[in-house]
Formats: sequence, C-alpha cells, structure tokens
Amino acid sequence: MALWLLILLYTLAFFSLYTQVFFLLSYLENRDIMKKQEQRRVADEDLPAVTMIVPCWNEEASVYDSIQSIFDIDYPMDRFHVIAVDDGSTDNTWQELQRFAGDARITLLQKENGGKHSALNFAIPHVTTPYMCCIDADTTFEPQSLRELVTYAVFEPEVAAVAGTVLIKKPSTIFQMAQNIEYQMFAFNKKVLGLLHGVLVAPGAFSLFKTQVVRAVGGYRQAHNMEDLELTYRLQVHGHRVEHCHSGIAYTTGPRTLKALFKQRMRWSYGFLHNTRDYKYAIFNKSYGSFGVFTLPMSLFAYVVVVVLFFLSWYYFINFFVDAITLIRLAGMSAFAGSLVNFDWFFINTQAFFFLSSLMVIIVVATILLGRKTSKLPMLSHIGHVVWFFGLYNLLAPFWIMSSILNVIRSHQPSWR
Amino acid sequence: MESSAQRYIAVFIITLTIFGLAFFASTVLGNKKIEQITNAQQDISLEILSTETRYALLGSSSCEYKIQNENFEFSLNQELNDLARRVKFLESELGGNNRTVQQLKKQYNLLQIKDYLLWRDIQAECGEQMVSILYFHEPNCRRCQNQTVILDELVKMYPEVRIYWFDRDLATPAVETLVAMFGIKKSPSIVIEGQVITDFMRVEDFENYFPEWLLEKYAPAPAPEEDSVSEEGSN
Repeated sequence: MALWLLILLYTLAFFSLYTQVFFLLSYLENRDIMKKQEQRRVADEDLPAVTMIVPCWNEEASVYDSIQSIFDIDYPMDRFHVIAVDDGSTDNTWQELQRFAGDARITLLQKENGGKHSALNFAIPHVTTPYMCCIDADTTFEPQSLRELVTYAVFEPEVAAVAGTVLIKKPSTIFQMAQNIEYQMFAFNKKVLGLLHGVLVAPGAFSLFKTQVVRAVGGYRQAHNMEDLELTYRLQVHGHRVEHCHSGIAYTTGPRTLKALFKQRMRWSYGFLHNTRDYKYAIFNKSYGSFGVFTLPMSLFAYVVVVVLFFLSWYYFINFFVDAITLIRLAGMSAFAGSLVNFDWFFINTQAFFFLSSLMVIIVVATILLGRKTSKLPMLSHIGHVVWFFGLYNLLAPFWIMSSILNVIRSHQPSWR
Repeated sequence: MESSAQRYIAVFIITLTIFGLAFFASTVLGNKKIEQITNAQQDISLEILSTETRYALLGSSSCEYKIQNENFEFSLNQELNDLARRVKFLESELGGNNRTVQQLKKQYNLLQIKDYLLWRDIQAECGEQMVSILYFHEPNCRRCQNQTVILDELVKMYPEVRIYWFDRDLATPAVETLVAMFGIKKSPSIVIEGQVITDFMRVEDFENYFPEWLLEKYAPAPAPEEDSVSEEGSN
C-alpha cells in the first residue's frame, strides 16, 4: 500500500477513535446528571400549557388516526392544544380534518402549499401557550413522552428547545431494520451531545420549543430542505441551550425501500452540508461551546470517514469476491470452504489497522447497546439486525453522501418528496 | 471551558495509548511470525544439510538407506510446503517491500534450490520415485495469481509432489541462474519433467504429467460428487 494512503487511513482511524472515546468518556463523566434528569418529576398542576403543531400534506388516509393518537398522550387536557395545518393538500386531508371541527382542543388551519417549515410558521402566530411541540403527522408517541420533554423545560428554564428521542416505528423491511439500529445508536450519541450542550438537531419529528424564543429568532427559515437542523443551529449560535431528552420517545416511519431511503438521506446530507456551510463561522469556534468545537467538526469529519470507508469496504468486498470466484472456478467449492476455516494463529491478520478497525466495530456495537440502555429498550432483542446496519450502511451510505457532496458542489437541490 | 479542555486532552491521551497498544501488539505478533519462519527455515536447512551429508558419506550405496527414510523425506517436503504458505501470508501482511520479508524469501529460495538439487541427484542415482515442479512467478501478474491458486490446491491433493516457488522479482543470483538454466522468459512458467510450460495449467493438466503410482496413491475416494463438497469443507 502506498505510504500516503497508509498515513491517510491511520489519521482517519485516529480521529474516528478519538470521537468514539470522546462520546464514551463524556457519557461516563455525565452519568450522574442523566440519573438526576431521570428522577425529576413535575406534578400535574405545575405542567405548563403546550401546543402540538401538526403539519399535514396529502395524508387523507392516516391523518384522522394520527391526530386521535396525539390525544392519547398522557398530559392534562386543559393545558394541551393541537394545531393541525393543511399545507395545501391536493387530496381529502382537509375534509378529514373537518371531522374535528367544533372540538375545542384543536385548531384547524389551511394554507397554500409551501413546505413543512411554512406550515409550522403559519401556525406559530396562533400559538397561545408558552411551549410548542413540532411533530410530523405520522409520529406516534410513548404516552409519557411529552411530559418527559416538558420536565426538562420546567427544571431548566434557560433551555430553549428539547429534542425528543426518535426511533423507527415497527421495522419490517431490511432497510427499516438497519435504520432501527442506526436510530438506537444515535439515541446514545445524541444524548451525549445533549449532556455537553452541543445538540446537532432537534428533530422535526418530535421536539419541544419555548414559543417566545422561536418567535424571537424569527421562526423557521427556508434552509435547504432541512429547516429543523437550521433552527437548531440558529438557536445555539444565538446562545440558546438545546437539550436532548432520552426518556421522551416517539416513533417515526422509516423509509421502506432503498429508493425512499436514498432520497431521504440525499436530502439530509445535502441539507446538512449546505446548512453547515452557512454556519461555517461556528466550526471550531470556542464561543459556541461544544456545538462549535465538537458537534460540527465531528459531524463533518464523519462524512469524510464514511466516504473513505466506502472505498475501503468496496475494495475489500470486491477483492474478496474476485478471489472467491477465482478459487471456486479454478479449484472448486471445497477449496473455497477450506480457505475460510483456519486454526493456526499465524494466518490471523495482526496488522495494527486490523486491530484498530476491530476495536471500532466493537465500540459501534457498544454504542448501539448503550443507545438501547438510555432509551430503556431490551438490550439484546433483534440484535441480529446489526448485520443489516453494518452491511447496508458501509456499502450504501457513501453513495448518498457522495451524491450530495456533488450536489452541494453543483448546487442542485434534491426534492422533499 | 476549563473542564472541557481537559476532556479533549484526556481523550487525546487515551486514543494515543490505544493506538500505541495496537502498534505494539502488531509488532510483537509480527516478530513472532518472523521468528516462526526463521526457526522453520533453520530446521529445514539443518535437515537438508544432514541428508546431503549422509548422501555424501554413503556415496552410491546411499540408495539402500533411502527406503528407511521415506517418512523423513515426506515430512521435509511438507515443511517446505508449509513454509511457502507462511512466507506468502507474511508477504501479504507486511508488504513485498518489507526488508525482513525479502530476506526471508531469499533464504527460502536458496533452501528450495538446495532441496531441489539434492533430490534431483538422489533421483538420478537411485531411481527414486518423485515428482517435482518448478514454478516461476511474479507479483502483480494476474495469470500468476490464478496459477498459484491451482498449485495451492495441487499441494493439498498431492502432498508428495515437490513444488518449488520462485519469485522472479527477487532476482537473487541463484534464481537468475535457474531462470537462465531453463530459459524462462515469461511468468508464470512451470518446469515439470524437464519441460518448460508457459500455458495455464489446470489440475488435470498436471495430472497428465504425473506417474501412475502417484495418481493411484492419491486417487480421490469414489464418493458421489454432490456429497464431496460438504465433506471436504473442513479441510
């Protein structure tokens, strides 16, 4: 292997390991804070009023049930309001919403189509409560989830936004299973970022905001189809604190097919890269705390790693495949099977890079387990799905990342839907 | 800010330590592998020397003794074959440009040539039944890689066949002499029964050159084709 390539690989391995050690150490350091956060309780009479904003676009089939399920959330109903915004649907969403007409707990709004962030902005002037919770029409909730988020806001009045923990709803395809593992892993990373006050994104699927702060910073802005990320960035560069609530859990529907997943990730990567470029003055800027010094550089670095990992994985994958085919073609299946079995330590790879990458895999699995632990999920159920996660993400994720890097260079915006 | 600066430094030190440990473990284990190969080469060189000495002492009458030592002769060949695999693996791990790897390969080449010459003499003198194959290859040659796969398989099927591997890239005087002796021009080239073959050789092509006794000795058990795959999987 060429020297420059070796130096590149070991440099990347070093910083990847650095990032992972950073997450683990920060977790160990702040476990007490997490425990205290879990013990906090707010009595019913002290809970503040909250408005749930539900933007809807062409959801006639599910919108009625979705909104019904929002009312199943465990929260005092005299302090709970829903605003449903029909963002210029072309189907019967508005007619479906009319089934709630006359219900005092819900406000129904209709506007021209303009994207999710415009629907949220349209609703914000109608919010009369000190807190607002932005969700997707298809988000479903653990009954206690909203209470958990509000508890953070009540105990830490300086917090402007609380990000909820989002997991994948009933995964059924291998792509959803892979996403499920990914979201569990991120549940851990996001919690640690929250503890360091360096949250990357308060997700559009489930996040709580202080109404007055969102109004003060000017609400949502059109931001490369990733308005939730941009608002989180903006709040933090304005000196507002964003927390992550690991005990407030909601579920979102992950894309079922590869094509849909690809589209979603293209949007995310493109949105992330563009928004981060817009806020590049915050990168490594100490005045923005962990958000500037760690979160932004680490997230950008992750993109570089994924791209290099891509070439490396495909290189090994193709090499292995070509060798296997050659062996089978020339010497038969039994020779190939024999080559996989090895009882002599001499033939085990003892390169430092192999040790380091094995360690990285172990840390990633540990992160997934810690994510399950913080989300109070059973530790070992469906752990086999990890295979899909490693397989699909190593070999596929770089495609959308590289495509979106190209798109950023050419400034070609991918569509939402 | 104070505590977070400390955290960044602490994480850096931990990461550096892990890196150090990985390199340390890799070096220690790598040296162990080199040591293993060096020891094996010393053993083999001793065995060759001892056979040579015995052969020189006894002169032509040595042929009477060879029968008693068939097992010894066989195990020496096994050791050489095993050494070939190890040297090849170490080369893939440490890289062909590694000095230690090159030295090991040079030594290994010399051992092979000595072994080859010794057994060629014994064969001529005593009419010893044996089959040897000289294989000249080069790194980064696609056809060589395919030929290597076949030869690896051949060693497993016929452990008694003596296969000598010569990397022409090493260009040691001894290998150069051998190349000149047989008039090798291309890689891969195979010398079997005194013939130089530059065509791609499958297992069946080799078998055409093998004497009857060898084929009979290692004839595959007459098992049904489908079953043999799963059974041989543990080899």
